Amino acid sequence: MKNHMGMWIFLASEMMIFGVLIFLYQVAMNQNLNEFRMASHDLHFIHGTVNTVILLTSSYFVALSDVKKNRLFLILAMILGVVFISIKGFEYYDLTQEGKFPLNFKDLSSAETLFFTYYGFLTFLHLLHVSVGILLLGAAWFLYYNPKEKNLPHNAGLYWHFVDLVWVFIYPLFYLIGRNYGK
Amino acid sequence: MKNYFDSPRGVLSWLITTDHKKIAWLYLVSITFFFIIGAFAALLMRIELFTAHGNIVSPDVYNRLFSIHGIVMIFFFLVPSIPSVLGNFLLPLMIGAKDLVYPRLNLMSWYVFMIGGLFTLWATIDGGVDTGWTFYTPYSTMFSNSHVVLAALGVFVTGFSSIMTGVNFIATIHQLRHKDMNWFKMPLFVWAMYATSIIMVLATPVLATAVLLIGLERIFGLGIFDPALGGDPLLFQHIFWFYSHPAVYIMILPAMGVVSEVLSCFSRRRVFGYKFIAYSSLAIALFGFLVWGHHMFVSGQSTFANTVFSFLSFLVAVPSAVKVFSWTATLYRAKIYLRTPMIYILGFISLFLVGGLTGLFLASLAIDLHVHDTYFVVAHFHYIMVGGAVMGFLGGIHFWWPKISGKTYNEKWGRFSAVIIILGFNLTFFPQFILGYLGMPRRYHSYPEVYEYLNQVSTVGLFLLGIGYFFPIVYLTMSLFDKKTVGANYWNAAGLEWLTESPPPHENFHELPATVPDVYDYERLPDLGGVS
Repeated sequence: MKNHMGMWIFLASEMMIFGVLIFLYQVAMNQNLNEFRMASHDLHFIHGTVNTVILLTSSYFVALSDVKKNRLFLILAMILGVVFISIKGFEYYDLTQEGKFPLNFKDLSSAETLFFTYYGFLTFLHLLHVSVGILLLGAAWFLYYNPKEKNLPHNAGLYWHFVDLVWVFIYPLFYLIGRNYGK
Repeated sequence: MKNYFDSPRGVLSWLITTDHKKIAWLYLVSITFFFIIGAFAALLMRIELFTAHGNIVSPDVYNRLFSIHGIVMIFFFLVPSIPSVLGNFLLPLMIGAKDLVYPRLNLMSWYVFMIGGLFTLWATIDGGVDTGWTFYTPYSTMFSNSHVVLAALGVFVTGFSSIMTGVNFIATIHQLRHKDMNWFKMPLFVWAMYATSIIMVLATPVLATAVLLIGLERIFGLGIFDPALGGDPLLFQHIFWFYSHPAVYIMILPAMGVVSEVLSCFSRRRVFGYKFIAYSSLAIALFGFLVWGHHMFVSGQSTFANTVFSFLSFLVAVPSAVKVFSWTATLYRAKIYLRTPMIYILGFISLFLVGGLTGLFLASLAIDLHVHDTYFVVAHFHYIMVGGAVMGFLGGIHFWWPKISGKTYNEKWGRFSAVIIILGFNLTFFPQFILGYLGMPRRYHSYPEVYEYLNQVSTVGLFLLGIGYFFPIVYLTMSLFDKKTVGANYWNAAGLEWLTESPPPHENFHELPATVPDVYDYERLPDLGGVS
């Protein structure tokens, strides 16, 4: 690999995937604004917020590893990534128990169904990207001193920042839209 | 001298190669295979339509035929045809590079393409899919009893191959140009590839999302497009056409790049308006993203949206016309040699003109209300895709065949089949314009008897076209076994790719020229080479 350009172009491509999903979600939200705001209350606001902090911090560590040229920080970032996935797992479990997660909907209105479908699909897709990101960071850690793969840490870092950035969009769109519309 | 065929040799050297030239061959063989499958489906459909009463295949089988024809021909033949074969082979040669910037990614893209192809083949053999290539909801998600998920998976996987190719090309064009080659010394084929790659990278993910949602909705009953669950089926059409309209520019832009190269060589003239052609490629790529709504004029979107999309669709004609007029100006008072590639390219220009102008008919709201989903539309996009993209592809293959294989094909057979193809094509698709205007709907397996005569003309034309396509496959394959090899610059053409041997060595250039020649400077070159 010559440099990081391929990764940047690939991320533009990834951006379109999340972009179109967020666009679809926005259209659905415009059609059912109040129901979506109400449905947003059923998500765990604290979980979402903690996850945001975790992901941003892990991104900071990845950047730090690039600046300090130290692969130890990648380990920290990966640990935080795993914590993120665990919290998400708890969240999914709770929602499934309440009948608010895809494949297990119980007595929801059609707008609520739509909201939780989008929530489930978008966050799950993001979760897959987080997993891939962790694998990439692992590969970067593993091959950190391999002269043939000297671009890998930087590329893995770019990818991780992208995943983080997507979450920064997902978080307000799902967790915050109902904040000032109390129950 | 060892060329890329010999270094190294053996079956394994083809399967794990990272040489862009060998990968181009892999693509060439596989898309030819897919082309034959798609052509067979078309042939069966036309035989079915020979008479007004469906008596060859059942309506259900007919649905599966046109679906598989569309899916295979678009996703597995037209989209990868010129970029993956000619683009892969020529891009590094044209810009003076040893290989693409990510050779391993290039090989991976072929494997991903083949995996997607196998899924689609599996779906085809196991009963096919009956939704049409467009997978429209809610039929595809709720009612269809065919292999929608498998076919969608095939398309989904192949999309990634397209993205990889696009990423590779953009990065290559940015980074591996000869140090003397600035952006405005690049051949126009490279410009066309650049614009195409941008579309591939930005549009394909949207299709991937669309077919992924279709699949999930069928398997798990997600409700994003299901009105009963709060979804909206129209959204699918929006995101589908957000990819699939730019997709037709993925098919046609590379062909336009081929046209610029070939036309300049066979009229021995500098191509007219170089910068305009280069920028119009980018303009077409940009406008391609803004016109998806013109496929949905009768889908129930607002009149305001229709008007805007109609206007933007008219705008696409401007850069296309810039290209066509520039080519015409190139030909003006030039010494034109009617060799095989040139016949294909002149065919391209005339057929593309007809296709493009009928595109303007369809972009007008009032006419579209009348001819929407009739054979008029079918004829229009076949004029663009077959009369444009396939012509460009064949012209390009013939033009660079001496470079690709180091052998020369039989010129007489070449000219004969090129003429047969152009005649057969017009005979096949021109009657369909009339049929569509008279009101014959597309995707019908039987029709009122009043349309029978024109349909029979069309079917006869298709047999002629099929014969025309059969010849190049035969004589190009036979030419590979020729003993006689050709020199480095068979046509006395001006591009950088002609400065290395034919076929090129493994590393493309034994030694790079210090400066890049002006790629359209036909003044300094002797007359056209090759057999007359």
